[in-house]
Amino acid sequence: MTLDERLSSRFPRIGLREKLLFSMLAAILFISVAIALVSRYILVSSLTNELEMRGFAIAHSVAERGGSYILDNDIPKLLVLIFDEARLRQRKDLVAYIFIEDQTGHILAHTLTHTLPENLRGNTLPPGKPDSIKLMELGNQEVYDLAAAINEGLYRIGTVHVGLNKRHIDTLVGKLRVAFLGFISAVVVITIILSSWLSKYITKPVSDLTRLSDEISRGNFDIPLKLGSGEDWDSSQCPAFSNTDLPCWHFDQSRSGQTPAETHRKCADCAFYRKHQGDEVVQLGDSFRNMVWSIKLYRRRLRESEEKYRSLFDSGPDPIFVVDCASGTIRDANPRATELYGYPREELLGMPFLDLGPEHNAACLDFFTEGGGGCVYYPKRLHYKNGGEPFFVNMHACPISYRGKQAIIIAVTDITGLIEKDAQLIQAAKMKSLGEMSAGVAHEINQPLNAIKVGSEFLSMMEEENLEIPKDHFKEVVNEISTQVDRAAEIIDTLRSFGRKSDLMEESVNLNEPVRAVLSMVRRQFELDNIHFDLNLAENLAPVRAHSNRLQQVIFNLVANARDAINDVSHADGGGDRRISIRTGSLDGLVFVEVRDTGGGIDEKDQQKIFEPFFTTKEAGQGMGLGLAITYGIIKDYSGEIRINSTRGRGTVFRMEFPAAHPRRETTV
Amino acid sequence: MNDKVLVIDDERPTLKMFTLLLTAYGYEVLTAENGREGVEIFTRESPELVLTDIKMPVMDGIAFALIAARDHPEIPILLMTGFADQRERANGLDALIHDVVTKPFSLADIRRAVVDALNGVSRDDTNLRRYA
Repeated sequence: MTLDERLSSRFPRIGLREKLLFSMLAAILFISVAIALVSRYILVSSLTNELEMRGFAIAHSVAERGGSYILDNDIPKLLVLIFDEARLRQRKDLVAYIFIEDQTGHILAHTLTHTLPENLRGNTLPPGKPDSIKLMELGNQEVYDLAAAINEGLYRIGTVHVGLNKRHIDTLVGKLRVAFLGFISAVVVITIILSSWLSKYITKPVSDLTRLSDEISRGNFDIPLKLGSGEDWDSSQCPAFSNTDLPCWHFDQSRSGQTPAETHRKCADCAFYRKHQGDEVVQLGDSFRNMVWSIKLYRRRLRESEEKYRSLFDSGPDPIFVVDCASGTIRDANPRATELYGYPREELLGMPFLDLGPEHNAACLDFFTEGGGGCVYYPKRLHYKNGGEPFFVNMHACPISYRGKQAIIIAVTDITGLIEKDAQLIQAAKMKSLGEMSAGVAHEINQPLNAIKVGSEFLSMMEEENLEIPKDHFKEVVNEISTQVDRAAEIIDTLRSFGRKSDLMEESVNLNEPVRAVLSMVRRQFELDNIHFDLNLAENLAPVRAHSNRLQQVIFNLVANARDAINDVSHADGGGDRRISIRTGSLDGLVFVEVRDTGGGIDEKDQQKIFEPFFTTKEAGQGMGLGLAITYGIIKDYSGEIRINSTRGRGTVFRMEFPAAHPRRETTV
Repeated sequence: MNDKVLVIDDERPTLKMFTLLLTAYGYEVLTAENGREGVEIFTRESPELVLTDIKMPVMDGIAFALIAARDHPEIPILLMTGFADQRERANGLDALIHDVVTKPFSLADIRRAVVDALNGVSRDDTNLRRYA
């Protein structure tokens, strides 16, 4: 790791306060030092200049006045002259020495109390140059040696050397340095104080925010939020806080505009929303406060909503499942589901939803995995409890997102009780039909009984009277008796199966069978009433999924209604067209039965209502008006349709259509 | 020449049994399944006796009896019925009808009624005997 990298990795770890302080200090120091250096340079150079000017002034003055003394070789006057110049008032501090040499380099006069050191004579004045300056050493002090030529006319006759103490400048520079150092220290101290105040002003709210947001991340929303000038909250001031139906328009701007027609409502003066007024730090504090309030508000709402739905889920009277779309397994189930299905919760979670209803659930899962949207209703599906006990349910399935995955929420209603009640109602209606049928059945059963009776008496009379019966006659009689017993037994069987309570499970039924069964019970009675049947039953009819005896009930109801309709318009002995036509067939995957009568038909307005319960056109006491309502219910149970086509005066056709049973389902059930 | 007896009943098995029985007793048996057929055979064959069920589709026994008695009042007609109310209906037709037997009847009754009717025994006597 290079130094550069180390610095850049360490830099973010230093506190904001230190960063501020150090950078301000560095800036101030740099500026101060730069100013000090520049000032010192200017000062020292101008001082030196000044010194030189004064030095040269002295030198030139001595040279001017001393020329004549040199010509005269008047050494004493020359001495007086240079002593006068050197000792003149403050000059004595400044001037270290003055000496004069002639053209040959011979010292004529000097102000030193001792012999002139040889090294002072190093500053020689080149010919033609009026003066020269050089730094020399006198004793252990530095002096500037300034040389000026002494001219007489055009000729140089000697040189004046003036030595100026450098110490004088150094004292001045020293004073200056002290002053500058003091100034810089003062600036540094002020800078430290200022920057620490400023950084405290900035970093204090930032650290407060950090501390608060840490607390909030941990879920502690109850800490007092005292930021800047802020006072703590009083939640009761916000109507949206307690009423979760009310949107908060101040904070939740994203919701506005979602529904364009909605009027944009706002609290007149929100007790919590802070407009950003003040410097950036105050703005940050306000913005943070707004954010926390918004989070607090919506977190509370979320929690409330979650609690609401969780309690709905847990206390729901119906089982609810959350099923994963991809795997088809149960991800969650409410207590009612474990109770109804009889699986412990641990076993239910992770179980394939298909296991609860192998016949019907696949369609539901397929619908959603293939991207079907919206909620779907699946009525009357067969499910199994733990142990295999079947029961009927209605299912509502809606797609949801559960823990980040696509899932279905399935609410299940146990309708077994309802179906049993239905079955009881149907059974009761069937018993009523059975009563209505009994006269016809008596006719039917009387026939074989008569034949048997006559046959057996015939045999006994022949025996009593010792009459010879031809063998083929005898055989014929015995066969006939046996056939008639079978016939009676068959009628009783039909009757019994009609009266039997249906299973929950549907069976495959050829629609011709219930038609024949009903006719076997009532045909003779109808014919005695001069009502004839025209049968047109299709061969090789596809089976339908239904209960045979409920279909018999339906057909009996229709046939009995047809008879009543015919009896309404004509009398048994009065002739006229008294016919009931029954036709079966299949068309486009549907199997149909038509019952057509030659009665008076049904008014258009009544056609709408005849399938409603308690609607009857019969006189009071003649019927409850439940027959066709139950018929309708039974047909709907088998996913069938019933349609009525009636013309006043020309009879009525009831046409029932059922979906043909799927061959695959037939084999699996 | 055997006596011709016309039997009218819509129940084929019963009809068959009557045929066998009466054949065994030496009658020639004609059969019809309803009143209308009966009228046809009655007018064509002029039987000595008619045995008819009352309740039948198309044309019932009573309607038949009314037609038959209008053309040939001398031919005795025996009515059979399984229903009490049908018997009531027959009560007003005594003039036309020789006898009424109630189902389920015994063959002995039928045979006696047939023999009596053919032998011209007063129907009042048989009636008296039946309802005594």
